[in-house]
This record gives sequence, C-alpha cells and structure tokens, in this order.
Amino acid sequence: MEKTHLLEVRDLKVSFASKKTEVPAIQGISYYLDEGEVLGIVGESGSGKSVSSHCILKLLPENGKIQGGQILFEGKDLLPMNAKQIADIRGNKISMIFQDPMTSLDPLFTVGHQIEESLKKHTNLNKKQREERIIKLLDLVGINQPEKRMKQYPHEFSGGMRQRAMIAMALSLGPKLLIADEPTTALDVTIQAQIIELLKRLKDELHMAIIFITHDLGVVSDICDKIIVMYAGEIIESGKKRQIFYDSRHPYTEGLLNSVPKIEQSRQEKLVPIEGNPPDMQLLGSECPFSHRCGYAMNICARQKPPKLTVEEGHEVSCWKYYRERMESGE
Amino acid sequence: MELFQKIIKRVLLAVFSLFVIVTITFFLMNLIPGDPFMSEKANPEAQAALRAKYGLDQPIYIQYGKYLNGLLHGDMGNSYVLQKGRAISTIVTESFAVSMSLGIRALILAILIGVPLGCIAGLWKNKVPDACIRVISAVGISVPGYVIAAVLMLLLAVQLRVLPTSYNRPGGTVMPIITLSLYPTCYLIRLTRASILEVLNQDYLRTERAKGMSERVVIFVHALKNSLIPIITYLGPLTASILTGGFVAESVFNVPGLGRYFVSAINSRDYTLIMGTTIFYAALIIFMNLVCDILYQVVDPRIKLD
Ligand SMILES: Nc1ncnc2c1ncn2[C@@H]1O[C@H](COP(=O)(O)OP(=O)(O)OP(=O)(O)O)[C@@H](O)[C@H]1O
Ligand SMILES: [Mg+2]
Repeated sequence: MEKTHLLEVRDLKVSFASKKTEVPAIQGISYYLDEGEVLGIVGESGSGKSVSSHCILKLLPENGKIQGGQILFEGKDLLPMNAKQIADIRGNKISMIFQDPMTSLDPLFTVGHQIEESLKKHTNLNKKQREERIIKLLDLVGINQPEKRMKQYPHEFSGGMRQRAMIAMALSLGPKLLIADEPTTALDVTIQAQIIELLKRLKDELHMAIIFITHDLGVVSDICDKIIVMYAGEIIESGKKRQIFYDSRHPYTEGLLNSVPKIEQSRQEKLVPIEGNPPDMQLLGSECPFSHRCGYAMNICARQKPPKLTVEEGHEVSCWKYYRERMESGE
Repeated sequence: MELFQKIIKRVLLAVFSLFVIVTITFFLMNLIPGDPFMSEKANPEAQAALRAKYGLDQPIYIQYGKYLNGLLHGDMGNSYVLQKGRAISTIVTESFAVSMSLGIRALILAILIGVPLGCIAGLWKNKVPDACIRVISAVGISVPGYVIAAVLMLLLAVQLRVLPTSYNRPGGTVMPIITLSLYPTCYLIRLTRASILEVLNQDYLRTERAKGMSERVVIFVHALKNSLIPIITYLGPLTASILTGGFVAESVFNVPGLGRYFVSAINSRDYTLIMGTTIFYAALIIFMNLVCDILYQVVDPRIKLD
C-alpha cells in the first residue's frame, strides 16, 4: 500500500469564469507534504500560488471552479466534503495566514474576539479558559501585554503586529498544517525577518507542516525543506531545497534565483530580473508557457509542452533544454 | 469624559453653523421682492403703517440686529401673515408634532423594508430576487413624490374608495406615510445592496471562513455589521428630512405639518415664520448628524469624534 501523506494534491485543475469563457488558472498540479515538513511555493505574481492553496480549504472566490483533481488530507479527499465537514477542518486541522494583514481582520471586532471565535467553534473551553488560551497565544507570537492587546481593535495594531495576531489566530488550535500565503509581502524587511524567525520557531515547537507561499526565493531559503516553482498555473520544477538552490535545471528557476539579492554579492554583480511578462492564460496553447521569455527556447518549445523529467530522487523538471541535455549525455 | 468634551465641541460648532445659516437666510429672504404686507394693496398707507409697526421700515442691519437679539432671548417673534399674531415657536412646535408623528412611522417603515430588501438583493446578486428588488427601487427613486401621491390618491381614495382623501379621517395617515417613505425605502435598498456587495469582497470574511466559521456567522455577524456603517451615515439627514415633513406629501394630503408651513411661509413672505422653520430645520439636521456620529462611533471603533 502507498504511504499516506499529510497532504497530497493530485492533478488539481482550476478555472475562472470570465465574461464568455472559462479561463484556466491551475492546469493540473500535483505535490505532497509530510508531517512537520515545510514546502515553499514560489512563482511570479499570477502564477497561481494563492489559487492553488486556497483550494485546499475550498476558499476559492465565487467565480472560481475546481475542474478536477483530488486534495487528500490525512488520506481523505477534501473536495467532495460538504460545508460542515470542511468547516470542521478549517482553522482546526488546517489553518491559513493571508497576504495582507491590514485587510484580513474584521475592523469592527477586537483581536481577542476574532481569536476567540475559532476557539468557541472548535473546542469546549469555557470563557475563562478561552481567555487564558488567547493570552498564551498572543504571548507566544511575541505580542507584549497580551491582556491589554486582546481587547484592542485591529486598527490599534501595526502591520507586523496584525500579522502576529493572524498567526496566533491560525495557531490557536494547534493545526497539523499551516498555509501561509505570502505572510510577509506586505511588511517591511525587518518585520519580514522577524515573522519568518517566528514561524521557524513555532514550527519546531508545535511540529506542524507549513506551506509557505512567496514570490521571493530569498525569503523561503531559510525555512523550507522542499520547493515548488510555479509558472502559469503549472509546476515547472520541484525539489528539495538543496536541489533547487544549487542544482536547478529550469531557466525560469534560474531567473528567479538571479533576482534574489545575496549577502555576499559584489557590487558589480547586478540583480537580473526575468525579462517579459507571464503569458495570457486565455491564449495559451500547447507550447511551453515559458517559451516566449526563455533565452534557451528552441523550435520544439513553441510547439509542444515539455515532459516531466526526474533529475534525481525528489527533483523533477519540465523543460526541453534539460531533455536535450539528457539525450546528449546519452542516458 | 473625553467623549463628553468632544460633544461640547461639536455643539459649539453647531451653534456657529446655525448662526451662519440664520444670517444667510435673513438676508436672502429680504432679497425676495415683496414683503409680508403687499397683499393689502388697496391701501398703501395701511401697508406703510404695518411695516412701521413691525419695524420693517428700518435699515436691514438694524432689523437683523433686533432679530438676533430676540433669538438670544428665545423669542422668534410672531407670525405676520399665516396665523397672524401667534408665536412662531408655538406654530413650529405644533406643526412639527404632526410631521413627527407621520415621519417616525414613515422612517420605521423605510428602515424595516429598505434594509432587509437591500440585504436580500445583495446576497442574491444577479438572481431573480435581486432583479425584482432592483426594478422596484429604480422606479421608486425616479418617480417624483407628487406623482406617487396623485396615483395613490386616485387609486386608493377615488377608484377603490378604501382610504379617505382627507388627513383627518380614520386611515387618513396611510397615504401620506407611504408617500413619505417611498423614496427613502428605495434609497435604503440601493445603499444597503451596494454596501453589502462591497463588504462581501472583503478579505476579513475569507479569514472568518478560513477559521471554520459558518456562513451564518460570516454573513449575519461580520458582513452585516460592516455594511451598516454607510447606512448609519445616511440615516442622520434622512431622519431630519422625513421628520420635517415632505413638502409634497403634506401639501397634497393637506397635512398641517411643518413642511406645508415652510412652503406657504415663503409664498406669503411671512418673514418670521420663514426664519423659524429654517432655523428649526437646520438645527434638526445638525442634531441628527451629531446623533449619527455618536452612533457611528459606537458601531465603528475606528471613528473618533473630532
Ligand atoms: N477572482 C478571480 N477571478 C478571475 N481570475 C482570477 C481570480 N483570482 C485569481 N485569478 C487568476 O488566477 C491566476 C492565479 O492567481 P493567483 O492569485 O493564484 O496568483 P498568485 O501566484 O497568488 O499571485 P500573487 O503573487 O500576486 O499573489 C491569475 O492568472 C489570476 O488572473
Ligand atoms: Mg497570491
């Protein structure tokens, strides 16, 4: 029998209804994650990072539709579940932190109330016990004077503090899996580093798995075990951290790596952004979606999608250039 | 205590606004050709005597000074024409009582119908209920009050004879109340719908869902409370305008309310009554806005009075 992973996504396909047609957004992605592992999902804006991870909790916007695939959590498919079943998992076994802490908390309720809501929903704790738990949680994520802060409203919190509060909320029930959708993008650099430190510490303390979404490879280098690189709704390369950072095979991954500032970088070495823009998903045909921007593009790239090839155990890439290199080396 | 100080500040500001309104109205009113006594046209001497008696022959700044002085002592003068000799304060209080009794009922009707219908339309956006509600509200907003009043009158009083034409008979308040509440009801529908739709897209609702909250909590606690905020802002001026009476509804249905006096006072150049109704109307609007601001602060922790 196959081993059950904590989370396994199989051939997930999502599209959005636009005026006349269904525009594909996720074109069949598969990956898995085990307990305590940290998976980084990277890719440019619009590559489908948020959409694919929101599917896990069935949080797609109204016009989004899951066209196929399975999302197995502890071996059970989440997609056919009804509203009540999925609500029992949300915030409890799987929880989520969102990109923008400024808009992700309800302005009309105190931070404490918003944390308490999920404790009320998922536990039998009484009022006093819930309050104690909230204080502990706020303390855990590094918010000073938690007794006072829990009675304050979101607008009385700074951006970094709100994100900490969001994290406290997400951790309130000790989830097995935390999905962090660009939790630091809206914050300034020092706060970013603090939040990542915090997540790293909490991961070790609470032994949870994390999906960490970002468009900045530099951000995930520290915290991740595995990395998925997404482009135009597909996974174009995936592997362990070492494999992606030191042995990447896809020109797009290469490009992402070159656009990360490195500490030891000399001043002459400029950061190289990737030229061009992601393709219009509506116009995408059978070509490799990156072929328009790829410096190594060959004839075949514009005609046919590359097959998924295994570089070594755990490291997969979809690229014609790598295919050719393999052929030439005579494997 | 802080709130108290802020309210004091707002009240002072309100008094200043009132002063400005009094001044502007006073001088504008005197710019309209004619005066309260021009109808006694047969006898110019009598007119002149009346003007002299009420001090209208004096220079305008002196009249203005006298009026302000009276106001400071709580005296708004007596009516010149419409109810000759009666104190303005009595006329305004009496007619306002009538307007208020109609207005409060119309207001409650508008809120009880407008807000829920707006919510339904917003929550079922682009579905059948939404389409129906939107058609109704579009009609209600674009048809002028006197048309509504006339149609109601023809239909219910003349054709079907289920309601009396006169305000004083039993059931006579029904048509004025409907006329008064129709526009605000439809406006509230639109406002609530737009507000709900705006809120439904907010990130914090997704956060609520991600915590496992039921749709019931997401919609009825978080979405509704947030979408009430713009509605509260509108309720202030709405209440004031409904309470002072629709000019149309009161004129058509012959209701002895403040709105009717406001119109006829201008027509007959009843100076003191024009001033009295204007001051009252302005004070009411200012007061309602203040109440709303305080209410607003109770609902929305981000807003601080200043
Ligand atoms: N509500 C929506 N309606 C229509 N299309 C959408 C919607 N949300 C996302 N999409 C489309 O889905 C694709 C993936 O979007 P997604 O938000 O997952 O990108 P992302 O990788 O998270 O980008 P970012 O880094 O900007 O957050 C995009 O092409 C986008 O146009
Ligand atoms: Mg995103």
